[in-house]
Amino acid sequence: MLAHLTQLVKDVDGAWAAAIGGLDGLLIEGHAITDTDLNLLIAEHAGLLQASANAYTQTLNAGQPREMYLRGERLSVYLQPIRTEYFLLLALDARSNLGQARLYGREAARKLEGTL
Amino acid sequence: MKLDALTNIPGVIASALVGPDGLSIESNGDGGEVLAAELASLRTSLDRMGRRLGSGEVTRLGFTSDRIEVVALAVGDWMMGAALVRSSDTRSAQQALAKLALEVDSLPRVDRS
Repeated sequence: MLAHLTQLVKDVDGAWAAAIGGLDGLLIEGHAITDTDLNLLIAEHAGLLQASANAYTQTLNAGQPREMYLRGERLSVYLQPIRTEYFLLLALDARSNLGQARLYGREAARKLEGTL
Repeated sequence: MKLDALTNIPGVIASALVGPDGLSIESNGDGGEVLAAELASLRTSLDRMGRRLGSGEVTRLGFTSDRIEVVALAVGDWMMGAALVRSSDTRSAQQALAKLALEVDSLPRVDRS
């Protein structure tokens, strides 16, 4: 699992952390090239993903979210749900390659799905 | 679509038009989206290389791998390119890219804020 996350951070331009978390907000596995609190990143984004999933499935009748990208002033994150209980988080800098993040994030999520 | 001229050239297996964020504006063929993302990545390296070498902007790129040939052009903020079966004649693809460059140059500038 860690090998997939490490490779993902290497392969995506501008990526500085990758992690797998549960929608319960708990970190399962993570890799970062900076000193960062992955537990906090996973916990906060689990809440955001949960809220978007509720809005999409219950209010908008749009089904489960397939992916989510949030860009802040100092933090950008790409989220890829894995089944209904887990998600992949990829933290990016401002000049990241979002095309690589989506394609390789999706691929990593598929590989990791089998190990969860 | 802008890349239609490329898709009918013999040997072309994928083509892409992409901006700096790596998300394809248009892509075709097997691996077109990956080609787009990687062309955007190469563009970053080419920009640095041109700047550091003092050579000016790198505008044309071509490389050969075990299985494919890739030709690409940088036009403004955009990269566009085609992947062809190894040993294909790339001249037609390069000519098509040069023609497309005139159209692509008129696309709006990318907002990088």
